Amino acid sequence: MATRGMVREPSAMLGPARHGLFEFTGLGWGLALPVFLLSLLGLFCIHATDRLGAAAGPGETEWIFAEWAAVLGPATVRQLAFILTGVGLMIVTLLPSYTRIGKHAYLFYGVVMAALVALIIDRYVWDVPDWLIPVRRNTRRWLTLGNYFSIQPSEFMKLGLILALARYLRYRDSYRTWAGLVPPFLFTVAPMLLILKQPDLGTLLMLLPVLFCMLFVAGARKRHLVTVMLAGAALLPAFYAWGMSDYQRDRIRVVFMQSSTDERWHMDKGYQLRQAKIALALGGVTGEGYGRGLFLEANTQLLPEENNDFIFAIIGHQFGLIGCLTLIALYAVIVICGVEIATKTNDPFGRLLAVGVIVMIVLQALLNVCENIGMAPITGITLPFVSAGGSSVWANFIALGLLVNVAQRRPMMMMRKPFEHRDG
Amino acid sequence: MFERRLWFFICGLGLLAVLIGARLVDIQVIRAGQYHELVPRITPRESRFVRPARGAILDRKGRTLVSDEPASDLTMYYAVIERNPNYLRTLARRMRRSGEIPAEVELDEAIEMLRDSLLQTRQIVADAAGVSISMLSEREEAIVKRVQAVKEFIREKSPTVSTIREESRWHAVLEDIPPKLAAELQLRLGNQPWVRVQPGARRVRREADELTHILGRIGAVDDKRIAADPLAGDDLRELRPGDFCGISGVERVADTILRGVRGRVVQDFAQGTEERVEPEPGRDVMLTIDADLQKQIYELLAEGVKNSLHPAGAAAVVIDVESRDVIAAVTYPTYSSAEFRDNYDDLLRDRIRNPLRNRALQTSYPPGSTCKAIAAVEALDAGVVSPETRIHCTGALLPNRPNMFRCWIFNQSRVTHDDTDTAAGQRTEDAIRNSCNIYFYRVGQMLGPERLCAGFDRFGLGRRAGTGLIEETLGVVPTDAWLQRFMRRHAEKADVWNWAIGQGEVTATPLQVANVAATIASGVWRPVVLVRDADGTPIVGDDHPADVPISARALQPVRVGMWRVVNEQGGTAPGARLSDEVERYVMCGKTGSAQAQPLILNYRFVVEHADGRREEVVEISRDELLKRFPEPKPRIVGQFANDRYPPLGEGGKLPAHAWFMGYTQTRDTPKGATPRGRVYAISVLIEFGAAGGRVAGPIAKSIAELLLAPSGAKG
Repeated sequence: MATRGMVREPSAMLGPARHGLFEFTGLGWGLALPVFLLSLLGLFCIHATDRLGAAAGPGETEWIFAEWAAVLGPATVRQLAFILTGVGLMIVTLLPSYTRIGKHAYLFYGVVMAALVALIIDRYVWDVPDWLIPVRRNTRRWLTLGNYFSIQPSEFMKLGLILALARYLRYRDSYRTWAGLVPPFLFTVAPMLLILKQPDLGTLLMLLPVLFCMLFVAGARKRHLVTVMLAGAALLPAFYAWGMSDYQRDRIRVVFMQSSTDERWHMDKGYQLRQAKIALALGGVTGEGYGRGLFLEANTQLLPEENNDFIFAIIGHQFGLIGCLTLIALYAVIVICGVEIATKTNDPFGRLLAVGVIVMIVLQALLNVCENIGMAPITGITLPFVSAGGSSVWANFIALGLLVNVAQRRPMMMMRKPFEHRDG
Repeated sequence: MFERRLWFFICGLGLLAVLIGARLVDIQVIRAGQYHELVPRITPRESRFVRPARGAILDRKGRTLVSDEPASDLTMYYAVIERNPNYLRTLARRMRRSGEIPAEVELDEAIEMLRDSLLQTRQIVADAAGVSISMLSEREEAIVKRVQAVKEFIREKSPTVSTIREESRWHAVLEDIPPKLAAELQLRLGNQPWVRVQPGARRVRREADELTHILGRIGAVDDKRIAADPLAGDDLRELRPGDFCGISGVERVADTILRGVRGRVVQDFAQGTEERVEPEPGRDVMLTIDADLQKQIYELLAEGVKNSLHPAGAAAVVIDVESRDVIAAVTYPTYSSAEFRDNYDDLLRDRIRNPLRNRALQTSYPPGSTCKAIAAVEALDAGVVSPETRIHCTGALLPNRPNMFRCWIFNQSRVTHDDTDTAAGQRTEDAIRNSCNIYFYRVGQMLGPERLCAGFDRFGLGRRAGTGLIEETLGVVPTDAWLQRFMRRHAEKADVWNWAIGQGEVTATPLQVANVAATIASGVWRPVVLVRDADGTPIVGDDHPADVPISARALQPVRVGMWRVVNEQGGTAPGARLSDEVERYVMCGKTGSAQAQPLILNYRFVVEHADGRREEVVEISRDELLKRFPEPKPRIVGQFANDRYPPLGEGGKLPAHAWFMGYTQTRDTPKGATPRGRVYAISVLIEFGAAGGRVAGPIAKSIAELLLAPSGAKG
């Protein structure tokens, strides 16, 4: 413990290299291009599915962008607005050095926790007015200001957790012992319990992989991690039996009953998944073309949540296997760029931050795809940068900002040594 | 270490990506065909049913009694009713794309055009219905409210549902539009995509009040009827919420035939096609009843009741013995649809006339002396008497109790049948002719209660007559089981005396009694037929009874006796003798004067209120009494019969129902043989008509003459 005071952060010693805001054009295109393409794809697909009644939310008619909404479709305009503000938030995130942001990591984590607690208070302690915490679909996930603004704290919890864990883990090696694993787990489990009560299973299940991956790359002992995972796996049946509500159990059953011959199951609980798979199958290799195909030309919505959790199926429907693989390739580019940023940074906080952000983005993407093709239970995870949504778009852009921030402020020592020319 | 682990991590992700890629190839390429096959199952179709016209009910001669007449609904698309602002835009866009609106017209302009024409639609609809626009809006709001309630309910269960089916449906804003108006609306609104005139129907009954009870009514289905539906599972024929089905009378018996097969319109939005299967109207059914005869008999009964000392109700049933077709089943009085609709309470409270009851088969009466024919057949069949066995009429059965169990003739004029007819004592046929109580007291005693009840049962008492109507009352055969269950006693000695002359616990409906006459005539008890389908196949209800043969040997003296009742000097029913107009035919019959308790018109109830205050209230029943009081309901602490009808005679003498049952045969039918010619079984009951021979007999005669006269109604 005594040594802790002695160790000083490299940022404090050297100060991160300042490359300026536009430096990331040189380095960041690897990230910017796939994210730009994904967002554009998302916008187009949302526009294609934007039909009467599909995404009409409460208060939609009095919306300030009603004029635009009438032309482009309400959900499209909404998404465009979220992407633009998301890019704005990303730029704001780029302005201060990530190390300065890191100093407020716990504060950020605390604020999001407070928001989560507020949602719980509405449920268990006293009734918060509906314009502040509405109950939608029998869940309490949003903090709102009437119909004007709404935010989903659990989406930001992913960010909060990444920041807090990176901050906590950066100089320690205590997590290589059993006891040292307790605090990072507490960081993770506390918000999970709060989110469990909203309930929002998708977000909740994202937090654990983030923790494990960050611990893993930070060098936690494999046998510890494996033991914890095995213990968790052993507890799963108990959680299935007692910890879940009926509809959650049904969603898990959906995965295992895909080949059931019971038509009633497929028309009821298994409906979403089968519709998604049919949409994908109709796409075939080359797809039906943009805005074409049964699922988009039919008068009614055939696939629930088609612009959100199930947008992948709609993409596969329009652009086929080629489109799906391209989409996955775009995420692969993000991963590769992110990993490069993580390896080239030798600031431990930056490394962990980069890893956390990549894990969050890529795991969301892959899990979402898995849900669409029946490889994972349907828990409501969005496809990052593509799915319609406010908070998730913002959270992803902020995360991206953090990643670019790390890349931009690569420490001096990682620079190529001066005057060492190859031809010499 | 960090980099190695990152590699590890990337490899993990890569593996996952490969798995996903493999699964995608599986879904999109390898097994794609399998999923393609599912497409027809999930293609968005709006499928709606088209209600078929319900079959008509005809009478025996093919005259329409009840039928469906066209009446349409005006329906509007839900998005219009809801005033969804996006609908017009979507519609305008679609119409421009399809060329219905020229492409030169700007989208906004097109929307304005549609909006104007929508306003116009509402004006036209309101004018047609004769209501104001605001009232029409109220109706529309009610529809929206109902649909939203359904939506709330569904979303509570499955929160991901964003639109429900009702929201893409057409809802009726005007119902039951007459055909002329429907045609006009169709013409004026036909080019507007948000309204449709959907053809429907209304059940219309011809003026046939004499048949009201038999025809029955239709009503909206409820869960119970859907659960009991014999056609459940056949989605084109089964009952669905919102349907109407027969709830009483023949409408109910023949419901599955009258119902028809739904048509179906399936709109495939993917292909833009509309598949239409026209509904198949319900098949007609035919009553075996002759509506004209029914009406004529109704008038005869009305006359008979008017002349009665204590006018109440009456019933008459005519059965064609050969086919067992019920040619007439008349109850008097009846009511009109308008009375039923507007004055139901009056009908309910009219306790003397009691028009809601179908007396022909819904009320059972003590059969009185008509029962003696059954007792006689049973006694001969059992061998307890032979046709030649002679039994003396002693005036009273018990020498030491001269005021009880007396013969009717002794009651009236202090003589016995030994005095008036034959001093040697009566044989079976004499006893039937004279309707001698003493003879049948003794026969009953010899038979014993079990054998006597078996006889009643063989003649169809206490059993369904076979019409299938749920209104049919079974009547009572007082078997030991019945006595124990309802009277908590066993048969006593005197019971069987009473039952043998059709008094006491035994009761029967006029329909059952007519079938007794038919059974005596034909030698076999057989269920009657009331409804036939177009091919003439009888339509019967559940638990349709089977035939019961009767020994021909035992019937012979009874038939002779019944011939003598009508056609011999001194018989009990000379008034039933057919006139010369129908010279080829004679009537055989049996009279009855069945003593019965007077009707209790109302009760004097003593009620105790919550505060202990007691009060006397006169009301027709407990239910009606309790309806009078608000919660908390008072406690009923006493109930006494208040007004009776008719009042008791001197010495507590009970009033009597007048019965006649008989059948027709040709004059040349040998005595005691199976009747020849057109054989009709007839029963007539005049409530509180007293003497069967004098009151009911002539009516039966008139009925037979209607049936048999060359110009009369013939079945």
